Formats: sequence, C-alpha cells, structure tokens
Amino acid sequence: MRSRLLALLLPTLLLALSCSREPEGVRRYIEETGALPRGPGARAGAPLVQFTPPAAWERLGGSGMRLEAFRAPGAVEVALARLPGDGGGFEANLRRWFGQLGVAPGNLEVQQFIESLSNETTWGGWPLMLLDLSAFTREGAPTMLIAYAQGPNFVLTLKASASASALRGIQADFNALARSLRPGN
Amino acid sequence: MDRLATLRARACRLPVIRWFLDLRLQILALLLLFLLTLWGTLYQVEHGLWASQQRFFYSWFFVSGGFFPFPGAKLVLAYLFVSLLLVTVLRLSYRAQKTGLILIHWGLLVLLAGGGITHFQAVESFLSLKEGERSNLTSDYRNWEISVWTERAQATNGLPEKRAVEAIDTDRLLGGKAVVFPDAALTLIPRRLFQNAMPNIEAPPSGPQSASGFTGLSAAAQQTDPAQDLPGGEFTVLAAGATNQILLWAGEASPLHLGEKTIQLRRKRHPLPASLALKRFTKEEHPGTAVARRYESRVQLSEPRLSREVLIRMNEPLRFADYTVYQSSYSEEEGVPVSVFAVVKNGGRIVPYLASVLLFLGMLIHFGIMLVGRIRRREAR
Repeated sequence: MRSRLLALLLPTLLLALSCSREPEGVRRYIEETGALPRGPGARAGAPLVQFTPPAAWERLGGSGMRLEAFRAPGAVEVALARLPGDGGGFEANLRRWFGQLGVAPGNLEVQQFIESLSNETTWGGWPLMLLDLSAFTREGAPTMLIAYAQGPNFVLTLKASASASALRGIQADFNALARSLRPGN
Repeated sequence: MDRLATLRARACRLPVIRWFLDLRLQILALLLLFLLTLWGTLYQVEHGLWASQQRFFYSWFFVSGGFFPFPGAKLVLAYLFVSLLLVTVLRLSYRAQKTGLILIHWGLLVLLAGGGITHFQAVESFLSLKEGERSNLTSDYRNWEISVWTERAQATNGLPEKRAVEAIDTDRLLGGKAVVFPDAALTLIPRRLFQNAMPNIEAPPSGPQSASGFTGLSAAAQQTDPAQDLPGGEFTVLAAGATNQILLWAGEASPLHLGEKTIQLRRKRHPLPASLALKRFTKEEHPGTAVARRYESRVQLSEPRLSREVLIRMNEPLRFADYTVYQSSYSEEEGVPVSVFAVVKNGGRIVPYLASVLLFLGMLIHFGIMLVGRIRRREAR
C-alpha cells in the first residue's frame, strides 16, 4: 500500500513543482556594470556621425534625434535623423512615410518596391538605401526622397519632402550627402 | 492484500479511470503525437519555429481551419502521463519477476515528468558579450521589463561595479495600474502601451521626454515572432516631488536619466549565480570565404567561491548549477567581436538522465530475467 501511495505522490509532487510560478510585482536584483579593459578598437558611448554637406546647402543645426537640418536650393528642407536600434525596422518606417504622403500601396507593391532598391554603402561602410517615393504620388503633390543607412546600433534617415520637380533638382546632392555618412572620431 | 486487490479492481471500473486505461485511446494518443510532430515540423517552414511551438506543442487545444478544434501536444502528453501513471499503479504486478517492467514504466514516467518540468520551469535567454565585458545577467528573448536604479558614484577598488535594480515585467503594466519602486522612491503610471512601437520624429518637440530625444511614439504592426517586436509606452513618473511625462522604447540603447534616477525599458533580465567575462573570441573561416567554420569563446566564470577560465565552443557548452551556456552566434560592433551565448536554466536537466538510467536498468533486468528463464527451460528439456 505504501509503495502505491509513493507511486501516486511522487509524480504529483513533480507536477506541482513544475507548475510553480515567479511571484508577481517588483523584482530586485544586482547588476554588475563594470567591464574588463576593452579590446583594441573599442570605444565607449554611441558613435558620432560625420557627413559632407553640399556647398550650396545651408546648415540649420539639429537637436535630439534630429542630428542636422539643411535648407537646399528651392527652399527644400532636408533632415538627418538618428534612430536607436533598428529604428523600428525598415518596412515599418517605409509604411509610415507612405502614411505621411497620404498613400497606402498594397503589400505586393511595397515588396516589389523594396526588392527594386539597390543596396549601396556609405563612406563609413554602413548599408545604404536611396528611396524616391515620387512613383507613389500624384503629379504636383508633395513627395519624398529618403536615404536609409543602417549603423551598428542605430539607423540614420535623411529625408527631403517637396514636389517631385523640386526634389529632382537636389537629388544628386542629396544622394552624395547620404553616401558621405560615416562614423565620427 | 486481498483488500488492496479489491480496491484496485474497483478503481479500474471507474469510468474516468477506464478512459485513461483504454488501450485504443492510448494508441490514438501516440498517433496524435506523431501527427502533431509532423504537422508542426511542416508548419514551422512557413510560420517560424516560435509560432509552430506555440500552436502545436505548447497548447492544450488549437483550432484548425478556423473551426475544427484539435488537441495540442500538451494535452496528449498529459493524457499519456496520467494513463501511464494509472497503469503503473493499478495494473502493474509488483512482483520480483516484474522488476524490469516496473523500472521501465517508472523510467517513462520520470521522462514525461522531466518534460513537464522543463516546459514549465526552464528559462531560455541570451547573453551578448564584447571582448572584455562581463555580466551577471542574461536577457530574455520575448519578455520585457522596466528597470529603475539610482546612479551613485562609488569607489569600486578594482572590483566590478554593482548596482541594485528594481524591475517590473511589462506584461504586468497592461492594467494601467501605478507601480511603486520602493527603493528608488519612484512611482510609474502607464498612460499608453504599445506591443510594438516606433519613434515618431515628426511629433511636436514639446512632447514627453525620452532617452534618445524623440517626443512621440506610434504603434507598429506586431511581428509573427514577438522576439522581433520593440514595445514602448508613455508614462507619468512621480519621483522626488516632481512629475515627468516620459516615453520609453525598447529600441533605445541608453536609459533615461531623471536626476539621480535612471529608468529603461529593456529585455527582461535573469540574474545568474555567477558572472561571465569574455576574455577572447576566436573565429575560424572556411578558406577563401567569410563563412565561419568554427568559433569559440574563452570566458572567465566567477562563482561566489571559485573563479575559473572556460572554453565554450559550438556543441561544447558550459554547464554550472542549473545552467547550460551554449555558443550561439557572434557579431561585430565597431570592429570588436561580440559573442552571443544561449543560456538555458533548467532545474530538471538531470531528470532525463535519471529516466535513462531507470529505462536502461529496467530493460537490462527484464531481458536478463527472460534470458535466464529461456536458458532454464532449454536445460529442463
């Protein structure tokens, strides 16, 4: 009889143990924050970003996530922003920009557009995509030029919003600025 | 003894128990297990491993084709466990000659119980270390926390700097209830929460403050695997008599500083009973390619009483206490190698070995008894 009781109790105990949960509420723990001496090439903190703006462009300064703003010929405003991590993902950003233009292309159209993008690298070796969204907007309506560079732990976006004809006038300089992105010292 | 036999016979006649002792149902359960394994394997090709595990293996039931309920592996395995337990207790004859069979049954029961312990208790996380870095915490793949600590400059005398952290899992904030962090004397009130979010850099600059400088967050479509989501939210923080509106986003590498208080939304941390420091990471590539042939990490494992240097390689994990640390992958950050380890905490990791020993002994004894019996019968002829 005793062996049968044991036979029933042991698995029940195992099951009960396996179902226990962590207590709710605020947890406390100790975090070690010290690092051993870093290996060669390591730098502390987020890297600064350097770029070479076109000579005819006026620098307007930046703050927060907006690293720099420019005024290009034709009064086109261009903004360079730095997003942490992967910036929420390329496709999510692309859909956000479509939303700002008031267009909503279908999934297939978006995928085809993404596949058609050529992959380049910036001077700093970061993967770069140059996007011209004028194919999605009506003639005369505002559209966008976007440069999307993926850094080691951040994303850089360079964005110009104006009419397609105004953007065509600055596109070469815009692309050159995007390609000049590189880590700072 | 007769009374016991009567009790067993009476129990076997109970409809519920008969249901568990039904051989046809037991075979059906085994067939279902086979079907679920096959179905789950095919499903993960298109939907990913996580979705397949959740649907087929970690569920009691799931709905197929929009309306047809199907038992999940959890239910089938629970049935098989109870069934085997009842067979072991009620049907099996506890005689010396049956020792082998008894051990085999117990071995299978322990094996299934071990699976249950691993499912409910095991915690999978990861640890990324740059060369020269150390950590006593691992990060969860899919769960997030809001952690709060107070910055205090202190002399460390060459020892690792430590800070006391208070944290709450983000899934406990869904009710919108205020959370008090007693040690930091800080109250956090959730205003808006997003399972997956992205910064809105077009938001008015006068909005809530964040560590990275953005002043707005907007919802983003949830990914198939929650490990790829970056949750975020808007909060009111009450600390030191001041009220602050803040934004926290999982994509931010830096925490937000509010005076001496520091707050961050990050992957849930799991404390280790030791700290690991990456001394050197080595990668060997196939000749003429950038494809890794072999990579390994030399780490310093510092436990409370012992510090030792260990080499972790692919298929050669480090085991200590209830933990197994596998070499998972690697990356590079600003020219410095980063080694990524998969860390599994499993209090029941010994159980499958125990089950294997029981099964081995059971089979050895059972076939030994059969062999002896056969030899004796042959000699008798």
